Amino acid sequence: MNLLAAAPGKRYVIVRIRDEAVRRQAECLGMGEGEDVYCVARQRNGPVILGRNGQMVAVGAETARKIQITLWRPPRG
Amino acid sequence: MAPAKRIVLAGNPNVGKSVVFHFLTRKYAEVSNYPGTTVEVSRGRWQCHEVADTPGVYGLNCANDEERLAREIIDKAEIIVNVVDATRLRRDLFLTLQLLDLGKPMLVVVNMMDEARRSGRVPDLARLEAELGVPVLPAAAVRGEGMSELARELARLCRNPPRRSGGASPGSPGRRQRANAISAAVTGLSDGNTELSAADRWLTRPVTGLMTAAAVLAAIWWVLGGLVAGKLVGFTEGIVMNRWVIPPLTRALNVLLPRGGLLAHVLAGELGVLTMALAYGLGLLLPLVFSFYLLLAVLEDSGYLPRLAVLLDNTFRPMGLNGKAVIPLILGFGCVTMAVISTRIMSSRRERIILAFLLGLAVPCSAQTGLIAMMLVPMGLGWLALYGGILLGIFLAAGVLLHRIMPGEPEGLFLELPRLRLPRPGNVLRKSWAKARAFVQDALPLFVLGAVLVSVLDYFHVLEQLEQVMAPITAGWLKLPPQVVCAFIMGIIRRDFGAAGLLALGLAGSQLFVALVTITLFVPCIATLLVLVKEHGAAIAAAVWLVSIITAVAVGGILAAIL
Ligand SMILES: Nc1nc2c(ncn2[C@@H]2O[C@H](COP(=O)(O)OP(=O)(O)OP(=O)(O)O)[C@@H](O)[C@H]2O)c(=O)[nH]1
Ligand SMILES: [Mg+2]
Repeated sequence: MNLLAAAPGKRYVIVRIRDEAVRRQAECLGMGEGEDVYCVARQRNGPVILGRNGQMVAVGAETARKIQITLWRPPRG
Repeated sequence: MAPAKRIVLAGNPNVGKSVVFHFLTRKYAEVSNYPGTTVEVSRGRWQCHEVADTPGVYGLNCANDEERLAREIIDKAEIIVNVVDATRLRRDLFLTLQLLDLGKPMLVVVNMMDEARRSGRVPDLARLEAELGVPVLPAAAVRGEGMSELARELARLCRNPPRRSGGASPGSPGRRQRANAISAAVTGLSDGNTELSAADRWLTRPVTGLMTAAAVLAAIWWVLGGLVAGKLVGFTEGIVMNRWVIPPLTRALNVLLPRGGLLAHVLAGELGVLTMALAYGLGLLLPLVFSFYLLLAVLEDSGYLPRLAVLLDNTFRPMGLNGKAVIPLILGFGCVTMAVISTRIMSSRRERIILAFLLGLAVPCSAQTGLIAMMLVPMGLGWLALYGGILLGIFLAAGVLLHRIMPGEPEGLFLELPRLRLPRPGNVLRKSWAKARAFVQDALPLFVLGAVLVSVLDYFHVLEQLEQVMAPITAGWLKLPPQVVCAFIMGIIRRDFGAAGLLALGLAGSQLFVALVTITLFVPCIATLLVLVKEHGAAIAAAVWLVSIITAVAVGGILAAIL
């Protein structure tokens, strides 16, 4: 699924970011590929707000469509 | 005495670098609560050393102009002061590790300790120092906390800079993992959920967000239109200037200078220096401009602007822009020239050029708005709404058109939201004061120069000839009295000056309305033009200039025909 389908309050893992510039910036920010983030809020067709430890990043719809996520699962054991 | 060193302040956006810079150098640096406040390197002195404040960057990959610029300055520096946010270590340590790998003497200032304490999560700085291997100092720069320790440590570093060896290249993998691990060890937390505060929910949801935006606009209008334009300006222009200052000066000039002479005309004439510079420039515009900057500073320091960017992101998409564009646009209602520089927060050149066009064409600056409102408001709400509607329509149309014709793709929004903060009165005042002073320094000489120019042209009857030459456009097409040529000449120098020229003409009704719309759309100030040339080259600047004239005259003429 892509980020536009994220539900507020849920925790996700970022799988892939299909935009070179955004991927780099997301990595710097600590929200790059392989990291887990919370969907904090989402407007209909609008920006999604990602959060982690109080940090918040707003991602526009166009960019959100280029970000692949899956639901986060707690590590076993 | 240690030899002079080059010190650079580097760090993520919005961590307080400029506050630290101001503390060290005592030089004014703009401080606001949104990422991307500092867009140009500014330099100052601390003891015998040179200190540079850089635009905030998230990394050293040189992914955009800001990062390239910061990288260049960092490469030239001999000592790095890395400012980080105590509550955002996970994010900030990535850049810290990149900086460490440059192998330069460095120290880390962990700023915002006050907010870390308030949230009950104070990082373990001894541990951080052990992990990083460079001095780590706690600070709360806005309260001056930790600043004397910083100065002491910095002095020590300048006296005998330790030798450090460089590490991996900035692009090397594994740095993110290392930053995460250090941050988890130091803060004891790695996966905290973030919930939107009630205020944030309110500000970023469409219905409540738009309601708040409307309320903010209404409040600004009430303060500026009601209190400042109505009461304060009545005093500063009506009483101080027009009763206390100008009449005695005029009387004195009449005694000293021959009546009807050139000098009397230039100084005390209808469009002379006294009226233009003193009554309009200082009496009328300065209070308006200063008050607007006060309100703007409150918005900037609260962290409201990035929320507005989230709210309006989709609105800007048809124009090839993203929500971040709202920041330079709002700054443009203060001063278009400064706003053109601040378009650097947009990540692509394409967006910067679209914004430069829109700013030059359809965004009136505070001084111009003030004067226009003085003429427009007495005409009634209907005219006011029509004026706003026309400007908004042209703004949107121009944006959509530019997006169509410019090559390239739009960039999506990817914007960090700073914490909402209560604006600090000291900073609000200092910032408005600095901007108002810049207004007086930039505008007043031009007002004097413009008044001299126009009065001289008038005295030698050149103005009359110009009026005749331009009559087909002014009288024929725009259906205005030929004397408006004078206002437009003044408008070429500065937009607000042009509006002041209209005020002096005393038009009324639909003629006044046509003139006001035309002068609003008319060319940007000379200062803006120079900045445009510097940022985007002469071709773009010339295009903005010509398109403004053509649009202004075309729209004015169409209005004149309809009304
Ligand atoms: N509570 C608190 N706020 C701070 C502190 N230091 C800075 N701030 C606030 O943080 C915001 C950003 O400060 P700036 O100095 O503009 O940050 P900067 O790093 O220069 O930001 P850019 O120029 O955008 O890269 C402002 O609203 C400051 O008032 C601090 O120690 N404590
Ligand atoms: Mg700054």
